[in-house]
Amino acid sequence: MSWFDDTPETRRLFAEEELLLAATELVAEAIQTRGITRQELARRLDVRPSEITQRLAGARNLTLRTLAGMMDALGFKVVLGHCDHNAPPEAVRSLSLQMQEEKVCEPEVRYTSTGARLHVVRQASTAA
Amino acid sequence: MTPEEIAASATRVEAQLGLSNIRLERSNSEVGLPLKTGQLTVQMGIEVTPDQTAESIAMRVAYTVVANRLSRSGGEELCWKVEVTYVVDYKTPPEVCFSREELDMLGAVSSTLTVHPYARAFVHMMTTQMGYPSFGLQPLTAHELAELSTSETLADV
Repeated sequence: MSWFDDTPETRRLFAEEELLLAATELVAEAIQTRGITRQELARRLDVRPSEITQRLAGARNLTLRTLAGMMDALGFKVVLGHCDHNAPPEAVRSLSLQMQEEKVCEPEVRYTSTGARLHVVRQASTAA
Repeated sequence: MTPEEIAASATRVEAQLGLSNIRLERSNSEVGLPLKTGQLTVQMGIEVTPDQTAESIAMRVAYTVVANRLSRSGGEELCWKVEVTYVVDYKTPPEVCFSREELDMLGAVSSTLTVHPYARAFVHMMTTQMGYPSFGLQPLTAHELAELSTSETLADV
């Protein structure tokens, strides 16, 4: 007998908690990748540092808006994915949330000069 | 006349004049295709129009710089175009009247050299504002301008 009572209700709760955990881990990983402190992230979002701590500890429900806001402040955007219930745990984690770094697209336009022409216009009013 | 003689003549005329003003008279910019990648060809044209009165000379120097790219059909598509006209005002000494050829050489060499840095800065600024990488016109020398004024030879912009 399993300790996990596999009912639709518990599966739903598990799925919610699993996603919340993946999201908070994602933010923590992004903070580490950027090499900034939680205080710095709080400053960028104009919130108290304790707010960040509570969000990452799961004390506050992380909404999609707050997740997107935190990742944006860290220079990332979030890409959502999904997988089958029976997929192995590794696949579930890798597909539940992915970080995608925002890339600034620099124009790749190159110029080739084909030449210059100089023309002097003679007007009737010009003294001869 | 050789380019050296043209440049020398322009310098000689300019030495008798007093530069009184440089003004931007007109500008017009167009942007066509918003491009992120591609190879653009740039063509520059300079048109100089002398206008002499009893006391002064107004030298109108008009730049037209056009960037195109080759379309899939083989034709050219406009990417951007910058037109800017500067007027260089000179005061002439009393009872001096320059010949048409002297004015031509003054305009082609000296007046164009005078406004070229302003035109370069203007084109640089406008191309950036149009969302393209900034384009810088090549600096020109008196010799290059004198050569351009005598032939249809194309020089690097």
